[in-house]
Amino acid sequence: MDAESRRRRPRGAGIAIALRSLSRVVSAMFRERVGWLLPLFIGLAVVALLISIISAAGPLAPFIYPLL
Amino acid sequence: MNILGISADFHDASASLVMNGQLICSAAEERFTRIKHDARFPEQAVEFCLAQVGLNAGDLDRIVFYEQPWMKLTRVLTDVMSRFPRSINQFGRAGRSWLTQKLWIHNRISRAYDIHPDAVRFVPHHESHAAQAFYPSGFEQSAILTVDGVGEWTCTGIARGSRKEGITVLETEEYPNSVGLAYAAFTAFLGFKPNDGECSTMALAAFGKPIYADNVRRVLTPLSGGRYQLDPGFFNFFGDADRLFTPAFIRLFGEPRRPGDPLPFSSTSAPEHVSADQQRFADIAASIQLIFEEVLLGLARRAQALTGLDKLCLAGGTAMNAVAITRLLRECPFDQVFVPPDPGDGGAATGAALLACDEIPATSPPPTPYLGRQYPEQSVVEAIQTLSVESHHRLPGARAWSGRLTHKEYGDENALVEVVAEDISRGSLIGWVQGRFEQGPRALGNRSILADPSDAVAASRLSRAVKQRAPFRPYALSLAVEEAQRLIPGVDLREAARTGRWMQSIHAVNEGCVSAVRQALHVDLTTRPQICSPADNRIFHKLLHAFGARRGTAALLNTSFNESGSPIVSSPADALITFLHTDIDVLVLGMTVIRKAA
Repeated sequence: MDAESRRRRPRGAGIAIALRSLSRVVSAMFRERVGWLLPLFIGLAVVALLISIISAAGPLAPFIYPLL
Repeated sequence: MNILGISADFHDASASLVMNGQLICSAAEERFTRIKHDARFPEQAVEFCLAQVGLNAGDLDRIVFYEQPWMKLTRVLTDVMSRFPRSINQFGRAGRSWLTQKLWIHNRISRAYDIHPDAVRFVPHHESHAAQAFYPSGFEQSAILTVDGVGEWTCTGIARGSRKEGITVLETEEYPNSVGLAYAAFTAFLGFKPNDGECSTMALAAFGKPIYADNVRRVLTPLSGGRYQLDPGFFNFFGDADRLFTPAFIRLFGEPRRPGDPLPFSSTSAPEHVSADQQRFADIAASIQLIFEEVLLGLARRAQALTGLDKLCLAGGTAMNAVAITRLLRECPFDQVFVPPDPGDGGAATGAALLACDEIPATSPPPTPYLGRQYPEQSVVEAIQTLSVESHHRLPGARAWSGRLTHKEYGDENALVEVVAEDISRGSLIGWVQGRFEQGPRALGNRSILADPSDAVAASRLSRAVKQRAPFRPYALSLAVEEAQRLIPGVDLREAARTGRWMQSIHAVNEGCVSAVRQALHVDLTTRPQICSPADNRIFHKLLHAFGARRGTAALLNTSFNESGSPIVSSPADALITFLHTDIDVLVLGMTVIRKAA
C-alpha cells in the first residue's frame, strides 16, 4: 500500500467519524464541567436524526423542509 | 510534508498551504465567491492553494482545521441555556447550523478531499492565532499574545513560543470575559457592524474625548497585574449582532446610534455642526478605545512578566487595531513586536497549518502578504475581450463602456510606472492590479486604488463615487522606504520592518510634509503607513518613486480596490467590473493600462 492510498478515506468512514464527533462533544462537556448539558444535547441529536430520516424518505418530508 | 490549513464556519473562511514548514499560499474564500466575510467552507480557496503548486488533494499529508468545533458547541449550548427562554430564537438558529453543518466538519473535510479521517486534525483556535504570529516572525523565542472575540472558550491567550519547543499556552481568559467582544458590542452600539466596523469605531475615536472612560471601566475593568474583568450584566453576546448590549448598558451610555444615522466628522476638514448626540458617540468611541488600549497594554506587560522574554508576537482580530498596536509599541516592555499581515481568523488558517508541522525550519524567508492568486497576463486580454459577454449579466453599465475602452500593453515596468505616475499627478484615480493578491483585508499595492495624497478633489471623488466611504475614516498612505525618515519623524526603520510594512501601526507625519499627504492623514495628522521597500514590492516601489519625481514626495494614497460592501477584487474580471461600475479613471492590470474613452 503506497503512502497516498494509506491517506485515503476508507469506505464507510462516515459513521465512524460521526460517532467520533459526538463522543468529542460529550467529553468536551465533561472537561468544561458542563455535563448537565448532556440530556439537552442527546435530545437535540435525536431530533436531528429524526428530521434527517423523515426528510429523506417520509410522507412528512414536505413539512420538514421549511424547518431546515 | 504538505499541510492544508482551513478556517471556516464563523467569518472570513480561508485556506493556507504549508509545504515543508514554509507558507506557500493563502487566500480567503470571499475573494473567489465575491461575498464579503464569506464564512462558508473555503472550497475555492482550497482549490486555488492546490492548483498554485500543482497538487491534488491526494498529495496532502494533513488537513488542519483552525479550531475545535466540539469545544465551541459546549460554549454555545451553555450560553443558550444560561439565557433560556430569552435565547429561544438564537437556540433555533444555532441548533440548526450546528446539527446540520458545523458539528460534522470532520466528515465534510474527509469526504470532500478523500483523505483519511486521522489525517484531519483540529487545533485550538487561540493556538492557531499564536502560531500564525510566532512562526513567520523569525524570532527564536517570544511571548505571544492572542486577543480576539472568542474562539472555543478562550478570548485571550498568553503563550510562549519557541522554535525548538513549540508553543506553550501559559494563561487564558475564558468566555464571556472578552475584551474583543466588548469592543464589538461598543461597535454595535455606535451603529457599525460588529466583526467588520471595528475600524470605524477606531476612526471615530479620534474625534472624541474619553470622558466616558470611567463608565467604560465599570463594564470592562482593567485589573492590576494586567488582567481584566468584564461585567456580563452589560452584554448580550449571544444576541443579534446589533444588540450585543443590555438595557443596563443603554442606561449607562444613553441610546445607541442607529446604523446609517449621519456623523458629520471628516478626517480632512472641520465639521460645520456637531450635535450633542453625535459628539457623545465620538466620546464613547474615544473612551472604549482608551480602555481597550489600557487592557492590551496590561496584557502585554503580563505576558512579559510571565515569559521574561523581550520579544512579542501579537495576533487575533484585535491586532487589526492600529492605534492600540502603536501605543503598545511605545509603552510595552518588549524590545521587538511582530504583527502578521492578517492577524484575524482568516490568517488563523495559516497558523493551524504551521501548528501541525512536525518540523518548522530553523530559518524562514521574510514573511510576505502576497500569497494569493496571480492571474496570467493572458487573462487580462481575455477579460477585456469577454467583457461584452460576461459583464452584461452582472453589470448594467458595462454595455455602455464595453466599446469605449482603450488599452495599451507596456513592454517594461519603467515605462508603465512613468505613465501611471503621470496620470496620478494629474488627479486620476487608478485601479492597480499586480501579481498575487494580498493575504488579509489590507491592500498593499497589488489590489489597490491609488491617488495623489495631496489632491483633495481626487480624494473626495474617491470617497463619493468609488468607495462610498464615511468621511471620518481616513485613507492609508503607501510610501517608499527611502522617504520614511523625512515623512515620519523619528521612525525606527528596523521596527517599521516588523510593524510598518503592512499598515499595522500609525505614525504622526512631519509638520512640513502634511500638505503633500493630507488626504491620507487622519484628523490628528497621523497616518497608517505601508513603508514599502523594493524587496517588499518592486514595481509598486518604483511607482512610488516615479510619482515622487513628479510631486516631490514618493507617497501615494492607497485604499483597497473594492466598492463598499464588496471584497477586494481578485481577478482581472473583478477589477474590470469595479472599474466600469465606479469613477476610477484608469485601470492597470499587470502591464496593461485600460482607459475609459472620453
